[in-house]
Amino acid sequence: MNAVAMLALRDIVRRRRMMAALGAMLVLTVSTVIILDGYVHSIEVRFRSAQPRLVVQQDSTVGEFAGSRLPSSVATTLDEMGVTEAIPEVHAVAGTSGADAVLIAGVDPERYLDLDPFRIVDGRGLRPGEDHRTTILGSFLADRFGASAGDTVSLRGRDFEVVGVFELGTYLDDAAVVPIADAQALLGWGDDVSLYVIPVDGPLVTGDVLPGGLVVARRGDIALVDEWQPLLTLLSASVRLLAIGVVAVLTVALWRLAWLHRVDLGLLRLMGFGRRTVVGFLAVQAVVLVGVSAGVGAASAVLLSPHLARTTLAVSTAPVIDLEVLVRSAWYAAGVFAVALAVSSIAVMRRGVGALVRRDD
Amino acid sequence: MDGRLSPLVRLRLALGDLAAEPLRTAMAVLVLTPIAASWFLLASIAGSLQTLGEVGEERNIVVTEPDVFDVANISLDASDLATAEAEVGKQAESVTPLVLRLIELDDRVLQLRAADTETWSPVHGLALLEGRLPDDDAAEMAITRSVQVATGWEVGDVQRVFGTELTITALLEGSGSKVASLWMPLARAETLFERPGEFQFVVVRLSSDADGSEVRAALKDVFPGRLVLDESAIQAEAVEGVRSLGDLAEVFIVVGVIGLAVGSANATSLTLAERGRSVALLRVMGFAPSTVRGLLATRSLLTTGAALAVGLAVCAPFIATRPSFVLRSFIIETTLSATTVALGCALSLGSAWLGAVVASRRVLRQPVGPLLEAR
Repeated sequence: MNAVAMLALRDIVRRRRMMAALGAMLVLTVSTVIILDGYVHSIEVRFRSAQPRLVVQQDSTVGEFAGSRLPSSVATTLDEMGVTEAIPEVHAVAGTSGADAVLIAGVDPERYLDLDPFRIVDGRGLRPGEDHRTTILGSFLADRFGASAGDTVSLRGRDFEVVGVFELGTYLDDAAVVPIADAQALLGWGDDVSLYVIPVDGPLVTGDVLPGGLVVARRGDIALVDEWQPLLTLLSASVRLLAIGVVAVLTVALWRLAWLHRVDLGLLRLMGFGRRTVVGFLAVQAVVLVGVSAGVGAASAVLLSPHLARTTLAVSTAPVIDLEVLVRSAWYAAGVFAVALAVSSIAVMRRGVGALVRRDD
Repeated sequence: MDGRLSPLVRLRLALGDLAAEPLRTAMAVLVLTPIAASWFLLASIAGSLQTLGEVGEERNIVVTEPDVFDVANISLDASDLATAEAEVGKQAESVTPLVLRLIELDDRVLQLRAADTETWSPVHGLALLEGRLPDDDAAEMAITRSVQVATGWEVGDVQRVFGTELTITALLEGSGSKVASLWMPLARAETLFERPGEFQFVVVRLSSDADGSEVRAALKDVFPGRLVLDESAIQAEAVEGVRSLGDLAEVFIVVGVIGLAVGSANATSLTLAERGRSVALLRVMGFAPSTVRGLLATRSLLTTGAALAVGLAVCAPFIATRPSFVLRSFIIETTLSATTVALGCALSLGSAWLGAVVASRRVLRQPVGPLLEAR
């Protein structure tokens, strides 16, 4: 079998130009499919982090991003309704242009770690009773500012000391997280807040409408997936078409290559090698072509994805290529391998040895 | 025979060659068709994002606070209006307030605008298409045609906005026709948001003989901490944000073009590998290498052209039946323009020609003898 593998590899070397061209096309397609999958996945991961909590916010707004503003008296109303532990938060976007727009999140320094699993990657987190004008920056925002713990950044024209940098894996990685009192002072909101985070096991449920134009919504879902779906559907359809085309080109090429080899493969059969040997020859070629191309394509996608990040209106979008996406792409590659092997095998296996060795050109 | 062929003869020979092996020809066309269709689809997506319309009236200058991306944070009042009025004087036809909020309805982001209904047409360029303008004191609103296209809402429907049920009384045609906006009278918005006297923009409608840059400079002097911009510029960043998504489609387009080139090169290369002796016979008959290359390129152009035609036939109805949709309050309409089709055909045929020429180069350099012995 080793000899057959060597023969197959030598044949690849002999037809290296064609194999390189097919491989390049596969690499590009695999990269494209993974990057698009990474974009779709990023919406799920960064903007739809399902959480066992609810928020009370202004109706018709995405309060966890911006646009909602409630008087602090809502806390009293919620208390009267039997809601315990209503945690206030402020969410707003500051900035005069797309380049300097910054997401600001005001949190309760005593309780913010109970709500989200902030992972501090530099410096420290916010502390209860923190002196005013301190902030922890999300990793994306820290990159944009080129800031780290100990630096000073300007938020809405005021200097804030960066005490830490965090990663959360959600849209908040683009935010400057500050104590809620600082956020209220920075925005000139008095004691107004954007929303109250409330438990799911209380008297209120998602969709409840409260007096004063307030609504109860699930926490952690700001994706507005329905809005993005038409565009993602079109992009997915076009990338799938591209992938189908490339797999078809590959399949026809392997089929015709196998047919070109029919005399060699027929001779192998005449010399006593079984059908499995022929399949082995074709499998080695398919594995090398599809395996190497898929590997290079996946590596390219992983390397490229950080450079594809775009910051639009204070939020960065970039493909998230994690194990889940890579495993999915490995399954696709396995499918392509199976098709490639099946087609080339059928091309030479459906004929007898006599038919294979008969030259008709 | 000097080996040169007229384009017509070359076309006839290439067609004859393709017709001689209909199954292989059909397969060559079929494998390229999805790539061609993908190209047209991606180009229409990129095109629709790049051609988002100009937003806002050209003769309107707006004054607002710096946090222009979070309009709910902006709070202007009558004193700002009075300052602007006093400064611009006769250079403005009008100085009026505008409420603007971004709202989330039906999982879409829409714009909610409110101004005195008397200014809707002369200042904001709105035209009534159906129904009647909303009443100041009633729970009513109007929608632009873009909203209707995206949501299917009709005059008479009721929608909940900021916790209040509002009846749609009018369908409007907006000058910024690609923006999905709900419109309501200013007084109604003040009640809805429970912020009497507060608005987000002072809108200065310039007189026909006014110098816009001079007025802007004067307003910047009296509003040092504020933004003074053309109305169209205020939305430009947001439009740019949506347009940037087209970059992704453009990356995929490049992959598609490379796919077509490699696909064509591959088809030509395999043809040459299978039919080396046929090429040699042509050379023996006196065909120059350039003539054979021309034949192969014509053959490749024909298969790619057929793939383009089939891809277009599949893709055009698909794109034509795609409904418009709202993205970040802007209407996206995917259309396949004649320019896109022409560009797609030119790029695809060019890449097919290049692929065929590159693939045939090595074989045509070989002497005829070894080619005749090739199998």
